[in-house]
Amino acid sequence: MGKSNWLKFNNMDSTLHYLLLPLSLFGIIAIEAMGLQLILGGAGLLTLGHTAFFAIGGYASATFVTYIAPALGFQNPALLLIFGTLFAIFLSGASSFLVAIPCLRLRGDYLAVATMGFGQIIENILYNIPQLGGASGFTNIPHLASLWLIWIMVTVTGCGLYRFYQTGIGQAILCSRDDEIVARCFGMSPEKSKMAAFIVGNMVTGLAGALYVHTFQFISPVSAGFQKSVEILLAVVIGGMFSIWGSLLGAAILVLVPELLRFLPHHLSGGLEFLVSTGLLSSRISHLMMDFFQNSMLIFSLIVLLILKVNPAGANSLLHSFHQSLKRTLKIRTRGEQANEAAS
Amino acid sequence: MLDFIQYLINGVSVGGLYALIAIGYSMVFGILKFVNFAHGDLYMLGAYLVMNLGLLVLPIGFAIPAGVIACAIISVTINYFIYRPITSKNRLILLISAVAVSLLLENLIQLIYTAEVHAFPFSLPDDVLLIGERLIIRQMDIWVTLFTLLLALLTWLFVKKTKLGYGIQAVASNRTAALINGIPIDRIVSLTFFIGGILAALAGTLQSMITNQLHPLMGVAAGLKAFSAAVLGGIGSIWGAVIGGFILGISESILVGLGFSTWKDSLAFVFLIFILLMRPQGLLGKKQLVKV
Amino acid sequence: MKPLLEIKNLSVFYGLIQALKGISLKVETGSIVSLVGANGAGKSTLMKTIIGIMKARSGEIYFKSENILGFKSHEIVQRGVSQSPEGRQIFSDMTVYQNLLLGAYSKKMNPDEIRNRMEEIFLIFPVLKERLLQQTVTLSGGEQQMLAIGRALMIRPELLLLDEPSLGISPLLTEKIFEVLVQLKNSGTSILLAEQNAAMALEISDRGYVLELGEVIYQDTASNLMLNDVVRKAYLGV
Repeated sequence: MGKSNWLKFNNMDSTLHYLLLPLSLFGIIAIEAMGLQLILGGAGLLTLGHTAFFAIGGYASATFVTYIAPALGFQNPALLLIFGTLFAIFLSGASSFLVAIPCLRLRGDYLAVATMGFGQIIENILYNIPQLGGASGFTNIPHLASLWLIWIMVTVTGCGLYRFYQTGIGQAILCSRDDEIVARCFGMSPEKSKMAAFIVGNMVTGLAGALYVHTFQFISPVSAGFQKSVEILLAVVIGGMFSIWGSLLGAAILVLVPELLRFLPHHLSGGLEFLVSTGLLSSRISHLMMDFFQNSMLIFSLIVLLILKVNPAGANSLLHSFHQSLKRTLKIRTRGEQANEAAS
Repeated sequence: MLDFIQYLINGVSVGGLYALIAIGYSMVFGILKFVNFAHGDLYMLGAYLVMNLGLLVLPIGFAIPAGVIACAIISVTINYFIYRPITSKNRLILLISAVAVSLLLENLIQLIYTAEVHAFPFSLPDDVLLIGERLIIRQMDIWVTLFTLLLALLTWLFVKKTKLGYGIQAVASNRTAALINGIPIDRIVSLTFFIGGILAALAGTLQSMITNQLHPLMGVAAGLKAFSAAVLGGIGSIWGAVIGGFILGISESILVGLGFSTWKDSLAFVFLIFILLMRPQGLLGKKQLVKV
Repeated sequence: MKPLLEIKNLSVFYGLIQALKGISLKVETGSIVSLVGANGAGKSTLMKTIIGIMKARSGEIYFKSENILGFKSHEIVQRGVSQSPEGRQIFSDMTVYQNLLLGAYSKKMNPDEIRNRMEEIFLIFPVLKERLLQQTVTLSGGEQQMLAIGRALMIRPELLLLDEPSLGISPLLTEKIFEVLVQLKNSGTSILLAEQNAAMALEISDRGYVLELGEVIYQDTASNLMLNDVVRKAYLGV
């Protein structure tokens, strides 16, 4: 409560106010992306149902705050937020455990389709629960989070994941991704590693979901849908799926690019109109071009294909070439690489 | 009992369409050991290409073959320029690129044709036959089912009896051995994508002729279901894909008939999980072939 | 006369590791050349590179005076090079007949020619005719090896490459196979043989190359090699 008031005092500038929501969304998506990064880039698992766990986290926290907490009798917003978020993390972790059991033993292509299917099922279930709002979504969720809180959580999550990669389990995850046989030789269990990555990654995502509902005060089953899962997937790949900074970059691209594209038509239309008037460009093609720049998914999919061709490690890796020393301190490396660098 | 037969009749033609798409999944998986996530969108693309040619007032006899072949050529092109350079590298990257291609196709079509539902210029005869006072068969269902069975048979004959077909079998069986025996792998892979594209495009066209409409996301659901059908029947096997397709189509129809139509779309997925857990090689698959 | 196969300075890498370091060798028409050396010396790498399965980083491979480096496998096979590869690489879900049929893929042969050629191969390996319609998984190791060679012979290759044919096969059967190789040489097929069993290989060969860690350390006529002390100690178990 105190934090929200403080922000209101500071919202004198309308630009800042306008940026508030996108920046909040940016932070939330960044957390979700970091969760996916652990699963996709860390463990090497392609899952197409990731946002289902985001939705589970969000709905869980909303349910807790709206139904459970009043029944238990407490109203303190800080407590509501803390327990709501914990409930969200727990539920998304538990549900990802259940999904992992049948799915994780499947090889790449099958895993992708299976997780996509589970995502659809969860979306379906959410549509069919009237207490959670059904198709119109869960509304009237209290605003408990703030921009500062979100970004603190982004930092905590980022640092936490970085440390996680350096633990035994984290190293096992990375090794198992690269070579299962070698990992087994070192006594690691690839199955357990993948399970750990999947559950932890989805718990992080559940956290993002909780923060989301307490910022935007609303969530609908669409958030669990395939469309959203693919968006976050593309974002992580473009940003750089092999590093935590990459998730941040990817989240920035996902949230900010559509905003930028909104401004583009004004500048673009002038030039296009000119070309049409001189007869150099047909008006149909001009409309197509305008629509093209509005369709962020189309642009993203093209960028992804380009990135996979040029440098699969994503935009972050490309930036890395320029800002080596700065990136180095926050990028993940296996102990082997660290030892190599120390030796050379 | 009679109701059950009616459900069977209702589901067979849909099953046939699933079968056509599933064959494509199976064949590509057979030679590349890779599930082409974008295959379902070829179903949609084929329909749109035919529609476009139809709108240019081309007669049906020309629009359909031209549209279908165009779709098959695009399928080959996608493989040649996007998948082929990546196949030897990381598997994960190949899968992600397939997802990206799928999105690209869907959004490209949305861009050109808008996301709304379009009317399809061609349709099938509407007549309905009555059997024994209780059973109803639409004439179009008979034609579609026969046609899909014919296509499946032709595909199977091609693969089993022709030299090129033998090449496909060889590459699917042992890629290294195929290389050593002088089989041109790239050409065989292209051929497989071509066949898959033709079948998917025909399925999309037929579906649009049945329902008289099409929309950019029609390939997503159909693709997932056809993939489940392919796995159910045994991925890598043509007749497996056919059987899987019909089983799925008929099962969906039974489900709707029993009153559970809201769960219809989840059935394919349930089959998929079930078969992967119980018998991963599918109904017709051989035990050692698939590492799932 | 120009050699049928001439390799000049071939270098092949597995990622950062150099498997072949500037190999040069020749196979004269109508001769048997053996490649001997320990496991990991680079014999299989060389065989795979010649047939186009592996890419070389530098060097040249001349077959009938044409540089085939970088050619696709099917282009190389079409020119008359055939291989019985490491591990035999049989089409395991097919019959003996189908395997032989696929051996003829790269040449345009009508059914009669194919039939005749198969009959000729049955004269060399009668057991293949016995097992003609059986699934290859039912064949023993030796029979599979004969199938691999038979399949490679379907196109009447000018150059036959054999990668470790004696692996996993009884010495008796290996002798039989090697007798066949001599027969083939006498009817005009040139052979490049990569073998761990150096003694048997050199016995039937005209020339030999000893490979160690990716380099040719000895090359001479087979008879000279068999008399060479170092070679005898290291590779002939004497």
